[in-house]
Amino acid sequence: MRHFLTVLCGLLLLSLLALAAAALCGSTGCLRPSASADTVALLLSLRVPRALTAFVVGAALALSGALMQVLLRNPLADPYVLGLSGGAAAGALLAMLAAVQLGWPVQMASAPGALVGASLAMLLLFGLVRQSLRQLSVSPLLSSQRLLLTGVMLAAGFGALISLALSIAPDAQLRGMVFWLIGDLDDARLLPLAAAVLFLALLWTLRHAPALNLLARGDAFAQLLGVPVLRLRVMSLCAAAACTAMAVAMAGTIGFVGLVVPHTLRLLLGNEQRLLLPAAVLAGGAALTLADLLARTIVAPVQLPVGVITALVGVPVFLWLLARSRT
Amino acid sequence: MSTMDQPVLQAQQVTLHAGARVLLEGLDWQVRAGQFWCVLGRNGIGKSSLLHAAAGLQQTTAGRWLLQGQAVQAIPPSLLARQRGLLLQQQYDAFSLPVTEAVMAGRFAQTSWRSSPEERRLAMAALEQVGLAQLADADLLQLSGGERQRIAMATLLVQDPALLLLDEPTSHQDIAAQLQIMTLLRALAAQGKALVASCHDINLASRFATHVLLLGERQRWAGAASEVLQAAALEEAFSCRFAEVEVQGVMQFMSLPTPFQS
Repeated sequence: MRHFLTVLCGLLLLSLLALAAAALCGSTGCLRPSASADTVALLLSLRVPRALTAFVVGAALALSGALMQVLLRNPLADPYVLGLSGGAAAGALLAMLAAVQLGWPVQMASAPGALVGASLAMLLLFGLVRQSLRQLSVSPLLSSQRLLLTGVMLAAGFGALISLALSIAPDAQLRGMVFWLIGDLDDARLLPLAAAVLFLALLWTLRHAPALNLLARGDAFAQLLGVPVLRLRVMSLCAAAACTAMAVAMAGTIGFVGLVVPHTLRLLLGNEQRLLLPAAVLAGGAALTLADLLARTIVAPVQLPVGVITALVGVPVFLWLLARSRT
Repeated sequence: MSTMDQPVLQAQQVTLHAGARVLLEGLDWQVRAGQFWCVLGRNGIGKSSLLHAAAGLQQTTAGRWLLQGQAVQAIPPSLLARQRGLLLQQQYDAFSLPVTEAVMAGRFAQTSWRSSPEERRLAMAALEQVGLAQLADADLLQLSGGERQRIAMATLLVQDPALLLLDEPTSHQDIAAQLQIMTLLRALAAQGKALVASCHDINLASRFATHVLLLGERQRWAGAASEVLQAAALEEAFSCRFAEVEVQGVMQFMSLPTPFQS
């Protein structure tokens, strides 16, 4: 247990450093002590909400990814695998199109559209797999297959909707819509709500971490040792879905954080959920904050989409870890 | 009825299906503390389904299972975990995990969020009992199938329920380990546990079990091992011939091929 505390304190320190760096540095360079008070206040008012947004989105995606990997027992599982992000993105794009038609401000439409889309996707998914969620299977490989296949099919359907929305969009909107899809962290309006959802999801998963440890080893195995498997599975799906929905509504579909961060931690720290879940929150937050800092500064004053950085850095780091762990 | 007389496990008119196939019909059966039952029968006759249903993992089509007089389906999972445990036939371990921690999982229903040194001590004792103490620090994924099955057995020992259900506990084991496991199970029965193990080895059952439930296509035999294990009943249940040999005071059975029809 002492080992847990050391790791978490280290990650907390890393998170604070990442947040501080993201708040102090940006596309116009880093703040110097010589800068005037007005400049400092202005830059901080722009950068602090953005840094916090990056942290919360990264943390939510990593937590959701870690939960999905336990639930689906599939190393390829990430927050987007069950079609929630597809639903959110389709919702956001269709809402943006509708806003253009009705003459409303497009910026106001994307977040509510994403939330509605993610909720619809979740309801659809639960409706379709209702039957198999109620069954216990002895082989853990079978139990998640139906859920996974249904989710992948839903994601494909939403993908078609997204293509449809992009193809009928007026040219003036296209660039904004594509950037929304890649993901950007400009919009901090949902920050308090997302932080609250993340906090509640983290508390819930921490409380049930010992049960999730057993669930990762099989439905029947967990049920035999006293875990109420059916309830736990539905509740963890809800927690993961809520985190994903908030992240996508705030920042679009930022890839790789939800897949790579939990896997990296699993390779480094092992599969103990009591440690892995809070560690995923801190590491995911820190990772996206740093990725966003890079995106803003690497070719300043041009800002890159943060999703590009997470993929460019995440993929080689993960492949290196994977190669190392084989030995 | 005093708790002494009450069966640990009771099947009342239980009927089991696998899909559309009827496996067992109208089974009435009682398992008491101190008894070690072996369930024998051909493949697909319903041995695993019987154990899964008794553990509450599988719905019974008709009838009911009682654990200490209470309907299994009505007992919440955390209480159920203290009353019955089941060793699954196959172990599916997807994630790597240190062996000691894998075994400590058996204490889930009895412990709080924090793991205690007491749990680690219990896990070590259980590993000692299944003869795998030297693997305490190994990784679960690097063990052989037979070793993983014995790790699962250690988990069941740590869980320490009144009723131990075991689905083919000797299936992946070498001869020495088979004897070790059956001796351990017999000792647990002597300590007052109730045990039910499905089994393919008639001779191990004959040597170690106190009671036998023999499942045939048309008939079932249940009772003390020496009474049920007769060549006639076995020939009926397995549709092959047996020769009886007495070895060290225990009846053993040699299967014989049916003579060729010329």
